[in-house]
Amino acid sequence: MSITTENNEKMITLMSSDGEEFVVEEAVAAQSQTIKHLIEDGCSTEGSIPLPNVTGRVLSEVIQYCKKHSSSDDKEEKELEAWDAEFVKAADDHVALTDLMMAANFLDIKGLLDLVAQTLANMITGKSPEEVRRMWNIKNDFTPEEAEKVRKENQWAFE
Amino acid sequence: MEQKSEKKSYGDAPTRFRRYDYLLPDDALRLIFSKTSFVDHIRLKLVCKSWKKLLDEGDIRSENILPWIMFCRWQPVKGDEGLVEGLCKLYDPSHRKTYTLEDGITNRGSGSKERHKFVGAAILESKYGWVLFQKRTSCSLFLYCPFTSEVIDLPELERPATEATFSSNPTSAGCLFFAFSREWDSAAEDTISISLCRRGDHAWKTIQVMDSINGSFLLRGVAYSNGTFYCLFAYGQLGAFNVATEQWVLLFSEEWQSSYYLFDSGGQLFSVQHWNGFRISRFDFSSRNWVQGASRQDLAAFTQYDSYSSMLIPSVGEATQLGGALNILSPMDVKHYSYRTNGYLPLLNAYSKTPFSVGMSSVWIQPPKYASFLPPQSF
Repeated sequence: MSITTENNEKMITLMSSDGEEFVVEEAVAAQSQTIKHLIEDGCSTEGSIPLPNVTGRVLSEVIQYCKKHSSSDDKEEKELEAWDAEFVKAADDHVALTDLMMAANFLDIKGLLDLVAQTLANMITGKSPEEVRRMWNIKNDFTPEEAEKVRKENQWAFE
Repeated sequence: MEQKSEKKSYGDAPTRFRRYDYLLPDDALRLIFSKTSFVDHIRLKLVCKSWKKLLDEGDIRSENILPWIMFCRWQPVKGDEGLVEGLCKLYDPSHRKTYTLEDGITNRGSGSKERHKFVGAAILESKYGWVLFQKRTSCSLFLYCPFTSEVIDLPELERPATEATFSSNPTSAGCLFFAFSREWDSAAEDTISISLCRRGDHAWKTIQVMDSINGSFLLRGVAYSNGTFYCLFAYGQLGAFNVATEQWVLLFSEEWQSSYYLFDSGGQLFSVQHWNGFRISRFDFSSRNWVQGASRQDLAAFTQYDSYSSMLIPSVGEATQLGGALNILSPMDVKHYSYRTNGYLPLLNAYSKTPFSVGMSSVWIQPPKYASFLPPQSF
């Protein structure tokens, strides 16, 4: 039995939360620890694996990443880095990146998690608390007194 | 199967997700936080209470490991000796940014009165984000943490310390403070004594460990590792003081090569020799000998011209290019000496924007590893 050629590769079907189906090689999908465990537990025999937390749009991006990284053993590390940089750039903004981050977190894909976390970290570096809140639409639940107290402890970091 | 995926999922996140547009699960937030700096952590605590809680929990490490530099100067205000004028800055090499903590007459915290002891105090040690000062005129020692502006006073010593160090974070209960003193006055009285105290002690315990020693026993560095304080002398002689047994032994008593700085890294001791350039050596405890080693690309040493305070970090991440080098904090720049090429490397970007200025003391200071370095505030 050969699993090296594409024709002989075992395929599985992933189904997004909005019902879109993606047929991918098992080796590609298994980069997700979550999917890998589902396959090992025999959950894929029913036909397709439903992913209730990931939309089709995000899933197609995730699959793009997994495909690139599963066939990359013989590729230059530099080329892969450049590809990664383009990949997160294409995700465009923090909203798309946050979707990707949540998908990577749910699917447990370490490389993708690190990549997106680094990109988001770069985005919030040097930003004020207010700017960060606006990015993620987070409610400020501190009273003015509480906020002042935190600020005062390390005034230098806010200047 | 539904259950399986639930387990891997965000726990109670979906409800919160609906309330706020984009709220990431805690694990994902922790990962993002770990990739931002300690200064960002301070700011991010103000975003919302749940973020503050995450950052205060203390398990989020920043990947920024390069030592910062503290610059400081405190002097009495001319015409009004009751006031102290302070200038204190922190330089963050990971982001090439300078923060001003104090500039002008100090009236923060306990006020100007507290700053009086900073005037004329010398830096003896810098570790865990804390700087140990000594005011020689009164033999008083105190610790200062610029990140939080906390000050910890230690009991007064009977005679001034040549060097001093401490075993762990000074805010931890088990922290031990160690002072080394040598009496110079007359040949007959040329003795070495060691003083110890713990957090909360009202006095030091002083033990005379050596007498009638020869002139080569000049102290060149102190370090702590596994219950023992080590002292390095001018020609590589190495003394060890066991805290539990209060026993002093000379592990290496020969006069070897001119030696400087004593580092502890994971239970191993290292020192620097200066002979035809700098070399780093490791102390082999089984043969009780210094082993002059390869260029140790895996370690980055940080030292300074004006004191024997030093630190050693693994050369990983952003410190990779500083591996195998002695990074020397000098009065007007940071020099990087490579053991391998036996010469100085070009100035590195991380320290290129360091705000050196004449007349200020400078010292390497370890950036806090955890966001919770700051005392957690409860609301």
